[in-house]
Amino acid sequence: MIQRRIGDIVLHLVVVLGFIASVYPIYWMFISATHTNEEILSGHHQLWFGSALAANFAALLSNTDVNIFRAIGNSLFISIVSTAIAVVLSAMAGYAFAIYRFRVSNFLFIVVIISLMIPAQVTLIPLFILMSHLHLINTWWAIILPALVNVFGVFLMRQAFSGFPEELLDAARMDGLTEGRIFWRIVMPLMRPTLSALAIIAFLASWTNLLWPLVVLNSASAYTIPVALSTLENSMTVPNYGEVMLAASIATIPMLVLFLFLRRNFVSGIMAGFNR
Amino acid sequence: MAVGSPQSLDIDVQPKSGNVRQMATPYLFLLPFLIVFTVFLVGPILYAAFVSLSSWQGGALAFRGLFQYQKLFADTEFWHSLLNVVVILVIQVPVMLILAAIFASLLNSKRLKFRAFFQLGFFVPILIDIVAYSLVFSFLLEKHGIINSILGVFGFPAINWLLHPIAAKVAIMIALTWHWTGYNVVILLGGMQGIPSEVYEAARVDGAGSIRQWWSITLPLLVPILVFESVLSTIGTLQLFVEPYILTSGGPDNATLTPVLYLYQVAFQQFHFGYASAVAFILAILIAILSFIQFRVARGGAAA
Repeated sequence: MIQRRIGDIVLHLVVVLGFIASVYPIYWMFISATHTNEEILSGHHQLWFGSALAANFAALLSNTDVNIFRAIGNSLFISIVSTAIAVVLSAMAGYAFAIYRFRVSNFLFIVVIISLMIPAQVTLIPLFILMSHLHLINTWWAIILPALVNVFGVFLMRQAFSGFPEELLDAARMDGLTEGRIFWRIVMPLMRPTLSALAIIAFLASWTNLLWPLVVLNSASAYTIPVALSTLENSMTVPNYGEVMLAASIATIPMLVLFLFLRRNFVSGIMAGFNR
Repeated sequence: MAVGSPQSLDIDVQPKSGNVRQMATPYLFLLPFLIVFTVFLVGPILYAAFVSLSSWQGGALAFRGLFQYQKLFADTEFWHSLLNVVVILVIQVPVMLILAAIFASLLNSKRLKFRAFFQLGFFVPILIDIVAYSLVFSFLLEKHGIINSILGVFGFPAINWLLHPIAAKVAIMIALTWHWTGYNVVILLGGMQGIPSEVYEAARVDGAGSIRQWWSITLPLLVPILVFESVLSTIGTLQLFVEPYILTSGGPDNATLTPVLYLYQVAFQQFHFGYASAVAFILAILIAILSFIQFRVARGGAAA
């Protein structure tokens, strides 16, 4: 079985190479956060943590142009609020399309599907004009409000609700529950897996969105993480790469923590996002 | 909430005529979504169409018909940006999907030790913020960065990745491939786990080796997923923005300018809203055509 042995070795070798290629840039980001600028630029590849973490941290704290910690707070608030509301609105709409028969149902659903095909860049300018009229430029609401429309979420929830057992609804109606109560007390708790998958997709999209926040935020105190990171390097007269990598690392940690807690939902979220 | 208002002891699913409150139920469920859908999506899309047919004159929008589109068709910079993303996607998407198919197959092998651990490693790039990873790659692609060092091991000279028109495009492709291969691997793995093991056992009984099994069982089942992935990647690449914005700002010499980067510059640095809206609509039409093909392919795949 020598042939099989060699096959096994090649298999592991190729996978390990791919694994290193996947993980190394992230590892590099974290270790560079602990090195000085000179060490990073020296041309020697640092493979282990250095001793400049405190210095880089102090530099980041005293940076008056970009406050990464404030940006994390902004991003968390925006992502959590917009995700929570968008998921509820999508679930309600998806439920209406899947469970009830009503006059304009088909027409409305076709409009929703068509809007799914239109890329977000189309609404960039009108939304900017709208937000200026509403005096919401530079506020969290300029980012939250458009994010409440999760068309894909409606589509996903309709698919999920279409398999919902009708007998359960009838039994609840027999017990005298109103339609609203049935939805909140019985239907929603049963849909938790789909809801969390949708929430993860929405949260990831909100957390990593750069273009729209870049357009509507121009004061550093309102910056989200991607905007803060993208302006950090340009804000320095002499770029401090250790500081930039520390900021990038800090921006990544919340996502990694979320992933550790919700690993299974992440994978099903990605599959759900794909299976449209 | 207003949604829960209908008092109904009625067991019938179909609303009875005259029961207005029950007739209203689906609309009440839809109402919150429809409000934001209209105000923040449908309204803006229609307004964008109007803006793209107008230009600002003395602080007001004046209707100009297809003026902006005529201008756009003669704009070499726009066509250059479109050509750039087409070049990137024609090369990057196949490379990424071949890599993803190979790694997904290897990661699915029962002979692989620490399978879950390795799968996790391939998943991790998805979790990194796009700006953060673009910043990381701007360092990895430095003159003294690790990518040049690896090339050096094989005897290649150091490359000024972000300063040479062709190298800059390749740099963007490297970054994109790193970030998205794992995503495609996860989806392919999901597809492969749907193949029942009896199918493989039957093939083994018939004397098929593992490469033969992969070729005649695994690959045909992966093809529809790969087709989907290629369409999604194509749409994503047409909308490319963050990587060139951070890595190259569209340079050198517009070699990595993308339509969305161009749109951003025209709209929010030069404030030509009408013209930028025309750019957005041409892009939307291209993407709509691709989405349409995607749906057609999906339906064809289901029928086959």
